[in-house]
Amino acid sequence: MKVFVAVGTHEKPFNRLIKAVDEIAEKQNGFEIFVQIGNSTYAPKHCKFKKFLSPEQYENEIKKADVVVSHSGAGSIISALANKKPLIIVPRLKKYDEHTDDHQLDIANALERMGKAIVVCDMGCLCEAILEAKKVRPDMKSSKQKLIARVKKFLAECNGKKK
Amino acid sequence: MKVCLAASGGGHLTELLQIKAAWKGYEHFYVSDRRTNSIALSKKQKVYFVVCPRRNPLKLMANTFQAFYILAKERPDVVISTGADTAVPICLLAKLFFRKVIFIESFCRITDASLSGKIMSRFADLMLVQWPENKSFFAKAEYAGSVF
Repeated sequence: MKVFVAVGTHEKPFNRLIKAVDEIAEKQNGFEIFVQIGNSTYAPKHCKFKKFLSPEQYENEIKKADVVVSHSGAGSIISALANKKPLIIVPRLKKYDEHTDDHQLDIANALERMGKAIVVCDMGCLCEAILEAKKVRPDMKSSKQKLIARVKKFLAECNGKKK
Repeated sequence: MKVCLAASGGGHLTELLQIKAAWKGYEHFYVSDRRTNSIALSKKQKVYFVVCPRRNPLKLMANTFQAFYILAKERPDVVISTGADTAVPICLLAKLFFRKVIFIESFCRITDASLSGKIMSRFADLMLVQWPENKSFFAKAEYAGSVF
């Protein structure tokens, strides 16, 4: 199983997730794991990794993956869901100094309620979650066009007043 | 009419680019800090790189001076931003110069408001949130869909 793990570009490390993934790569057979480690200070010993990826490299890794494990950042989530990949979200938590607050937990829980992702906070459950992830169907009706239309309308009004 | 798109690199910029169809046809440029996706964007679009404040007063001052320079040089009519701190000074300065500002709170905010959002909701001409339940955290905000 190909697993892509992403922790985003946030300034804080996310060593807790990376160590857990590295342990899975060491102990489990049949996992091929690639990790985008960002500003984390732990370097995996049992899987391939890179600090940052270009948008094209990121899209390629998502497309190749069977399961995506991601921090709860918009960029990571958008790509996984747009490519209809099973998504496991591991929210960065304030108590581990992984983010400034716990808003990542809110978004992760909201997406899980909608059936778009599995949330894992306990690293002991991560391996099982990856194996279960294929049962989640990440299929979301997009409201992007509605937002684009609203912004377009505002711009048109500004342009009209300018003339 | 000219449009300035301002967002911190990483997820905020990713969110903003999801709705790029909205400013298609208008002259536009981007303002962001240096991260992989903003650097990649700069190969295809006009991007000004500014300092990311990260709650550091000196960096915030540097960002503000850069924002002033960009506004004076480009003179955009509208600034559209998805946050975060990198984009707030240019949005506030734009209001000082009587420009229009659209601020879009992040998709990742549902049951609270970001600091950028709290500041900008007082000054933006259009404040948008991406979850209906997020509206209650701002004095005036509209829910009009989300970036995906």
